[in-house]
Amino acid sequence: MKPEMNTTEAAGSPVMVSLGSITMDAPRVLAIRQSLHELANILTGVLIAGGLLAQFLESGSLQQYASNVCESGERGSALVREIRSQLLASCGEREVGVKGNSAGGVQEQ
Amino acid sequence: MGIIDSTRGTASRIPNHISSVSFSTPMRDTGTSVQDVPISIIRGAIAMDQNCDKAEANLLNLLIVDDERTIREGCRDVAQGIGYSTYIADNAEHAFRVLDTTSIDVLLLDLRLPGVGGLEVLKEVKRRRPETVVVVMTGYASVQSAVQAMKQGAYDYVTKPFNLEELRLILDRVLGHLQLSTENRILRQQVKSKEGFGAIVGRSPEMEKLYRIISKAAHSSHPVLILGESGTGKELVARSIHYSGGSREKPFVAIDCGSLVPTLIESELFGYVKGAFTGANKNKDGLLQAADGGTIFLDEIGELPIDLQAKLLRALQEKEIRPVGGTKAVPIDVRVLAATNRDLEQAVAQGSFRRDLFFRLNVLSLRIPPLRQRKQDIPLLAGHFLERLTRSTGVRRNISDDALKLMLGYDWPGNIRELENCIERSCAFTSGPTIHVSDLPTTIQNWRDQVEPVAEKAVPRRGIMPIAEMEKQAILGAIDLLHGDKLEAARLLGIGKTTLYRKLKEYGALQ
Repeated sequence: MKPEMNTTEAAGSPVMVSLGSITMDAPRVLAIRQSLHELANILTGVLIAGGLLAQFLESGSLQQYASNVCESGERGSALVREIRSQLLASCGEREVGVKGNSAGGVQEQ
Repeated sequence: MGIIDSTRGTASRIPNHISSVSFSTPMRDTGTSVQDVPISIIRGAIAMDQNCDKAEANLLNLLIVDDERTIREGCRDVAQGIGYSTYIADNAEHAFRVLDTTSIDVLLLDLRLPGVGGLEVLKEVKRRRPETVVVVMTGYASVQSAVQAMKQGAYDYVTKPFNLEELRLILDRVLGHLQLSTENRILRQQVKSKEGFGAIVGRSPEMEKLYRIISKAAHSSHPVLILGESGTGKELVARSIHYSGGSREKPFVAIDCGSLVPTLIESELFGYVKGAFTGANKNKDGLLQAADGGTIFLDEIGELPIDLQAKLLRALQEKEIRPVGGTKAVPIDVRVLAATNRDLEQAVAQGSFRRDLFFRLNVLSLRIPPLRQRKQDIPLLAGHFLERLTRSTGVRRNISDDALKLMLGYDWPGNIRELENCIERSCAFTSGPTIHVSDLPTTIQNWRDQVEPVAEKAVPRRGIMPIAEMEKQAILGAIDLLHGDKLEAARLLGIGKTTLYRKLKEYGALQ
């Protein structure tokens, strides 16, 4: 069983949020955020393992399968980012850039 | 259940085969403590890693903390491919256990961990080892969490999901950052070293200024023109620039343009092909090729014949050379450091040095002060040479106050080289552990005679002439006899052209 998650990042979420025509309460928003987090974890694993596999296989039909895994992973990632962005916006929060920043400052989207 | 796993990568701190990937195959994939066997996978070939122990000393320790197994293992394999030595932990407690026993350089940390959160781990890591570079990963991506992590000292921030290339980019950047900060630390230590900068000795303000310029030059790839009188240590400065910079592992090749005949310089610099001239029995690489990736030091650049100046300029501009007798151009990648004791601007004005080559070489320039302008370094330099002689001979010697006073008053036209020679000669002449005035070279003793009252002068014995005076008469006499032909005079006297010019400068006879 998975141990209890730390939820400090979610502190300050509003009681009710509106996502398009759907209105949700804070626990539901939190639940979606947690699900998105889990999905992001899964997709990161897929993308890295797929990338390594594609590189290892180098060429041929097997490599094509690995590339397809990466491609689908990227599409899934784009969807996660889109949903997360909308959810954060509905909570009045802003999202940081996808890639890390070496300058030490936080990139805002 | 926690996992603590330590595995080693195969590359050094500098990623030199990014295309290769190093996997660690678990012996038991049980999810509990696993000791991995490092296996290198390069271009599809699988081989046991033979170089682990050799590489270990240079590896940076990276700890990956994430509760997701696929991320932990994926990050580990990518990091090992770049050259990190990796450790993994699936929660904060296990991360602390690794931190208790290992000096972690880089931490890849998931912000959302079961139990103690990532921010707590970050805080603790920064408390234990502030220099650890922490990259935080999160799937939440809110500005609030990023700002919080940065405030607590995180170096970088990456949001999940991320792919292989994004991960590599971040790990490479961390590697570069650490490399730079290490180099800066080493340079700062060198600058603050007891005697000077690396192998250069001197603590005078003039030298401190020079060290700062060397540090900057070392981290650039531009050509550097080193100016200074003969004997000031131009080659030592060139070596310091090379060995303090990023190409220190690459070759440093020095060539004295003043000591070689023009035809020889050309074949030495550019190489030749078989049959190019009599005696060219096989192809030979030039020094510009031999220094590939590193530095070539062109000493006495002012002596380079004008036709070769054109060829050198072309090589520097085109980044390729054509060996003597060859038709194919060979690409080169070298940094050029050049030195001269001549006034190159004047040589340009006189037409003996190409203006375009002067500008090409004079991107950065530094002037080494003559010893007479930093006399406070004389005791330090003398002590340095005495110490070196003690190491080679086993006999410890010192300098009397009177001798040192005289040395401090002398102008040292031959600069450090003359001082070094003076110390060696005095050590050879002295019979005791202390060098006295009478042990110093005649030129320095005569200097005292010039500056001290006549009454104190020693009466020279009739028929005995100081060797230095004999040498001066021989050189000036030869040039006079040969109607000013200095090259022929140097050849007949059996000394180098550079030495002849140096001597003439000492005598004030250089026109």
